[in-house]
Amino acid sequence: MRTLDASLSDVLGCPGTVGVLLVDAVSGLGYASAGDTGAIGTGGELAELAELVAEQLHEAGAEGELENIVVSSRQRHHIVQVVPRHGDPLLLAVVIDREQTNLALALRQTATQAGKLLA
Amino acid sequence: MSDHPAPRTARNIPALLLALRQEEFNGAVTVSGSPGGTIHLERGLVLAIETPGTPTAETLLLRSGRISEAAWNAALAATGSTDGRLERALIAEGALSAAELEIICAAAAFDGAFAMALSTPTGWQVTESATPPALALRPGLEPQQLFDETTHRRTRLTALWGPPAELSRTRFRAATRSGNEAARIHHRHQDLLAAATGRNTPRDIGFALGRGLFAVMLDLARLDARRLLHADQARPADTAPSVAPRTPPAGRPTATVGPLPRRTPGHHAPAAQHAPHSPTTPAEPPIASSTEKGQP
Repeated sequence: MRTLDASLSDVLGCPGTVGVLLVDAVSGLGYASAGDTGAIGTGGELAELAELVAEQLHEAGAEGELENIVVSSRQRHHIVQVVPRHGDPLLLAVVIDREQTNLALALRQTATQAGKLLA
Repeated sequence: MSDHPAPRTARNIPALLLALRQEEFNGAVTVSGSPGGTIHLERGLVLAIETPGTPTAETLLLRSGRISEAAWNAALAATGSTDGRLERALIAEGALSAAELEIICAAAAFDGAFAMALSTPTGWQVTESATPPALALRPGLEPQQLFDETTHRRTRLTALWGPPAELSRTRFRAATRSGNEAARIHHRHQDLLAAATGRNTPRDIGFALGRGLFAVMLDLARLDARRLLHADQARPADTAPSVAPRTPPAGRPTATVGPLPRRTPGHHAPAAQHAPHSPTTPAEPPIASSTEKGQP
């Protein structure tokens, strides 16, 4: 088992987490996944989404880099967290069950997990 | 011991790799062509792909400045204590984490497959006793994963820009832009624009920045769509990204100011130029005085 698969299993262990996916923020290449990631979309789609949002933020004059994108539906929250690294960043996409946790907690958890991922 | 009757009849590289996966082959497939490359296999799984078409994991780490030359050499020296595995040495030395190394190795393998798929190979050779790659992903990747990702990448580039093979040999030049506009382009794209001189292919830019070929091509296609780049005419003679040594661009005048330095046959000591201009000095060696200009 690779290290990344083990790390994502840990993320999946967080309360309310249904699925998790780690992809390259530029190429969209999927590095690892765990749980139900059907609703997240493919790596390419996630990378396109993050690129589009980041580009629009820059166009609008926002300072700094994109940190995360949250998409909420009736049952789930989808958090796409940017994981900065030397070189092209990564995206950690997490699907959260709304019944089991709240968004503020989930965002905090995801940011913490993202920080630990490459350490 | 490279007698593999089944793979030899394989129609193409994917068919060959799938057959080798079936027999859990250990060794390497050397592909000739442009760019060509070497696919390293363990139990039929792809450990690494080394091709001149895109940076390898080693090049990505060193060129991007992720790890220093000193840290790399320290890890190389320490491989003896980690049963010859450089990956373990790098992690043990604290140069980078296991997770990050996996990411870089996987990215390099997928980029290698993508780069090699840009042109049709001229042939291949299956060898069991091949030199193992410097850095490998363990366990390796299923060949099918590589084919699927490569197909997916080609589709994305085709939709965004056009034929990937043509994009791979297009030399882009950054368009002139106002300062206000430049401030709204993020760092990654700014680096790419600075590297796009109109004389280098996406492959060259990838090597210069320590980034994979696909990511560079995708970013170039996006910047081109935003009219931040000019595409220089692709030379029709090229069939694949050039891996030949670079030649200086034609048509650029060589500025010559004043006469070129001239060699005097038989005398190559530059110190002689500073020899005292007094031929009367008795200690003067005859060689030094004879190189003085204006001396008959």
